[in-house]
Amino acid sequence: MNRYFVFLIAIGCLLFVPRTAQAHVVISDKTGKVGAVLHISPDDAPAAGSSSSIFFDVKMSGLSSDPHLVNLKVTNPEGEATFIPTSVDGSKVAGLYVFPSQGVYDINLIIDTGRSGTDTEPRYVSFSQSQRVLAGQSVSPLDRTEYTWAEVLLILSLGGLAVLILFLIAKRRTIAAYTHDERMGYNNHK
Amino acid sequence: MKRTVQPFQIESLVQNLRFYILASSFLVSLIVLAWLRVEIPADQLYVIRLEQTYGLISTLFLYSALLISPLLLLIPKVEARRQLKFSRRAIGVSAACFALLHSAIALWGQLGGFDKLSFLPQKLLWAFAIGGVVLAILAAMAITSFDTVIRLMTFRRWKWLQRFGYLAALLLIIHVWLIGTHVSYVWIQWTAVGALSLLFGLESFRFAKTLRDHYRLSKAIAVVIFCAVWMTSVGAVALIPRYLKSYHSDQHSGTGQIHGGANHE
Repeated sequence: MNRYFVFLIAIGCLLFVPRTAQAHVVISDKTGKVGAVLHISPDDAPAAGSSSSIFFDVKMSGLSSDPHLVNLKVTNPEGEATFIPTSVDGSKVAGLYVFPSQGVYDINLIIDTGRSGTDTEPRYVSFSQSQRVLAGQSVSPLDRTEYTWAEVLLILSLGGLAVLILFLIAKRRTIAAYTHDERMGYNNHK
Repeated sequence: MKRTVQPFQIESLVQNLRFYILASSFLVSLIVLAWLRVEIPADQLYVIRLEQTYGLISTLFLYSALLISPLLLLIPKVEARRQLKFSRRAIGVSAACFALLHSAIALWGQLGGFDKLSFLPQKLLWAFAIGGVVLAILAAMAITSFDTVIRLMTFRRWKWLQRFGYLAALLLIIHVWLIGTHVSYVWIQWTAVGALSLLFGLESFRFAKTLRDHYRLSKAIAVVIFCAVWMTSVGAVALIPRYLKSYHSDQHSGTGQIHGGANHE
């Protein structure tokens, strides 16, 4: 058995390297003609006070080869804007930013392709996305949104599950008697 | 021995183990829906977590359904074996239902509809297409899970259709690897490798046992077959990251030029 464990560990060590998780959101530019996938790590839930990476993967065929200008801007809830240094690799734009406190931030990506635009691929492309930063510093209880329907549904569903489990325990003998081999009754139709 | 078809009765429903599995799956889907809403005030993150959780539950159900067949060989109690085998169909239907919820939320909640698919990069589109095939297989298996449909299809054809569950599982591994956001965590990768090794080990055991019974092979040959099949299957899955780069690893591999600076407006 030890051989298998050594084999598995060896393969795992060779292949897996630690990374952080990211989720993605599809957004479109202001004209609605160009799309992009936006990632904010860690896991689309940035924490205030910790470094987050903002990642855009723009779906625009010309970007991968043509030189272009990129501006990535984050505006805090007070309206102060910060331009973030970006790393550009073809249609991919990445930047690191520390959200200083909790709140709703605006993330803007503006691209100047530097060539005369067409109807489907304009010269200037601008993406805008609101990002709510919740984790990190504590939030005031007054700022929390309450979802009464969800709380009621949660209690009802948990109650329903408890009743179901009680029924299952109470009826376990009749359930065992009812349970049959699924092959029975179908074999005649082979 | 032929079972007679009985009219629908509440009494027979509460005696049916499958009813409890399906009803609890429905309640779990509501619990997840409500609990995430209470916990996550940000709408965008709520939709993402909902889609991810339903996908995870669907994967767990499919894994359980696949694990039952080889597990039956190791369970000595006839009664427990019978109940496990009987519950398998409801577990498969639950996997299909959660896969449907996961897909619907991903498509309409996270992406914003079919028209937004054109905004996706090629690799994500492939991952979506593979996920679509998995959903189609699970849906076909769920639709044909009724007694009446099995009678119409005949048991042999229905059983043949069930084999597609293994194809669905294989495609699901690729789908999760390509697009899954949490597979980048090392502890999740190890958990997945452990779970898949267990499944492959049990399936290899079943395969070797079937060959041994059918061809009257010696125990030593059966053990060699078991080891070879197990190690090959685990090795094949472990090599997926080697040959198939996930979307997220692609994203972070680029080292482009640096633009701009941190200035306040």
